[in-house]
Amino acid sequence: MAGHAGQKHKIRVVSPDIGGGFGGKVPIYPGYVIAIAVSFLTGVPIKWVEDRSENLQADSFARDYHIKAEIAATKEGKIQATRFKVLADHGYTDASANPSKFPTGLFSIGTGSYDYDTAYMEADAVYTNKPPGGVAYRCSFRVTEAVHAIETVVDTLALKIGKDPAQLRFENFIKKDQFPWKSPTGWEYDSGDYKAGLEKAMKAIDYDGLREEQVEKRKKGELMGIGISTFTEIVGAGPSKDFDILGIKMFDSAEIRVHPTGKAIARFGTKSQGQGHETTYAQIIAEELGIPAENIQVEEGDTDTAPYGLGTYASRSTPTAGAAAAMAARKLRDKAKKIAAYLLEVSEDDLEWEPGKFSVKGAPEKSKTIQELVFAAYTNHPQGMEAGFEATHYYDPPNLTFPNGAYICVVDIDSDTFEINVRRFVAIDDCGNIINPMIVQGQVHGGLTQGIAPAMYEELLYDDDGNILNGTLMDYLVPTAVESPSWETGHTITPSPHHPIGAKGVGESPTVGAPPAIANAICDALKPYGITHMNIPITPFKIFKTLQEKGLLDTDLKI
Amino acid sequence: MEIKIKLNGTEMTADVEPRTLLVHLIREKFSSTGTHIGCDTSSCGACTILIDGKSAKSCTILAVQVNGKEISTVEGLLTAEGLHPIQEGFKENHALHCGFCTPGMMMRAVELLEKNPNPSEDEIRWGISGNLCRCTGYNNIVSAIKYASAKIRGAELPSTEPKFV
Ligand code: FES
Ligand code: FES
Repeated sequence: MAGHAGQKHKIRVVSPDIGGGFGGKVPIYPGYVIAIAVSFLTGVPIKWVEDRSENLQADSFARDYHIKAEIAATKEGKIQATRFKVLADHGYTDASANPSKFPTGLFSIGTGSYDYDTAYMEADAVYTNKPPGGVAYRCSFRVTEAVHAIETVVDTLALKIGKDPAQLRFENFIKKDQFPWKSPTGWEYDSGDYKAGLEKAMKAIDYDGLREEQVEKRKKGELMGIGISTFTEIVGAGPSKDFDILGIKMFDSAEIRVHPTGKAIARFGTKSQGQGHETTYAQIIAEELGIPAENIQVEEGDTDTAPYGLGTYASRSTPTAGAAAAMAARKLRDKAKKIAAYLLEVSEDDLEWEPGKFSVKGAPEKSKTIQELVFAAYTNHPQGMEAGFEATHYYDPPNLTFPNGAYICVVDIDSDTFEINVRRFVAIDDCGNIINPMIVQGQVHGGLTQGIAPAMYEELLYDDDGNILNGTLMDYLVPTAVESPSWETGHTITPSPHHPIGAKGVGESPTVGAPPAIANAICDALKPYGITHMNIPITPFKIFKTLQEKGLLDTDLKI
Repeated sequence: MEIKIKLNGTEMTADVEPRTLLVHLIREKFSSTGTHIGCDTSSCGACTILIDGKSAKSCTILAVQVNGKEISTVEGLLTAEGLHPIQEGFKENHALHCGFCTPGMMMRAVELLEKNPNPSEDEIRWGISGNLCRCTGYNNIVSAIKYASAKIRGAELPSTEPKFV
């Protein structure tokens, strides 16, 4: 409010640990505005607490996209073109944070990981009397929907022409040496090695062995399916040439101050909601500056102290603020070098850097540690140099990063009850250079569970009068530890060529990539019925209804 | 109504309305905000605590129902000897992201391991199926509980290195 009245500098927002985000915290809800207004009017602090049922009934929702996807290919399966038509339900108001000049995510990576040059995409959005809609739920600008369309239609193509879906993908992938690759919709994919990812996933899950097992099972009339998804994500919004929010460029920021003690505080314009920024950013700075990570205090979430930033969403923190951390640290390293040259009485060109110290080339015993140089910045720096050891960087990325993955899922379906059991799920992600493997893996695990959710469980249901039918966590099934399979994850590493440390975002890849792998596996299992596509969420009841409506319940399953 | 409970070993008294929920007593009267509220239908488990050693969802119990009983919350896990094995398990295995579900998850795990000191993966997954986690995908929570189980039994601790295929 004060922001609109030009009083933004007088507002302080403090955001401590706030629980997970996943996109639902992006919109401005009426409750926020009302709480502020009431506080103004009454002159007392106001707390607004929404309960879970209100949250399910009235908070933003995502994924209500009705997509008609068409694919054109040669008889051999070489993809020639795709056409998507989308009808998007955005509720009574659009809830997503849309950059002013960035079109719907479908126009970015909707053409997938495949080498062809003709695409047509059309999106219509409608207002309905549902809550605010169109949130990019754990994905950058609705690419989950786009990936679902391309990855399921590729499988439908494979089924129709009778080609193995892995083989079809290998024959259509953009090749490693074609990067940077201009997509049919004009985006430049930075790097990737799709073939290596899919090969690794197939080996890890024993794809050939599974196909043999499937042949045997089908002879006995048992329903087993294998599903693949080889997706490309687009994250790290964003380059100012492509993105801004009401004119403000979508950079992000880092500010590092190293105290005379050699210990640092680093502040950021992003805000962790469990993604582990405190660990990751400290590691980036430690790597660049040679200060131990445990001596770097990371602080976010206070507008009085943080540098100006655009926040954490759309897997943008590592691509933007992580890059800013590296760049700010490099500025400090440059300053340290000047001080070292002064103290060692040599020219800067005669100095060599190894993590933690500068030494004289050819005379390694003449050296200064980063701690000594930082101390000198406060006590004994060259005349004319500004004192202190502090740097800020606002990072405007030259391009987005394009993480990608190869996921394979195996399902068994009970031929009487249609209960779906996800037997195995292997996820190979490529997010470029990995800063912290444990954190990246944790993000992938969580994202996969959020990927199985829309594929098999979660859907807000309304009756004809618009009343919500499952407005509590009693009947809106968030997957528990029982629904979640034991995820098997791994990675290939294809660094981003334009990111200062070669990293890409990863937080959302699994949510984006998992649903089509599961849907494809289920459709593959249902092949004996002649089913080639089903809309998600795919539940046992939906399978039963579909088969019943098509008169297929008595199909002889032995093929 | 005047009630008396033992909260993490300390005698506490409080004057509560008959309608006060136990979770509100714990959070608001006793300022033990480690116990979270994640839903309003007993579905999420964020409010899980132990009543006389048995795990329960404190959002679904009236404060007056626990008069005279012993309540354990996440704040009671840390002792002079250091972290509780389940806390150590969560820490070592990266079993929490945002941490919202964590206190309830750990309290549930404490009882689970009390009753079944060496549970299988399946028993762990069913055992925590009343507790939702939106962040972790559960893999590492399962590992954390296995780790705590080994620690409590004095068995060899499983590796906490992330496993990749
Ligand atoms: S708050 Fe008690 S179960 Fe959700
Ligand atoms: S760690 Fe966020 S809900 Fe479990």
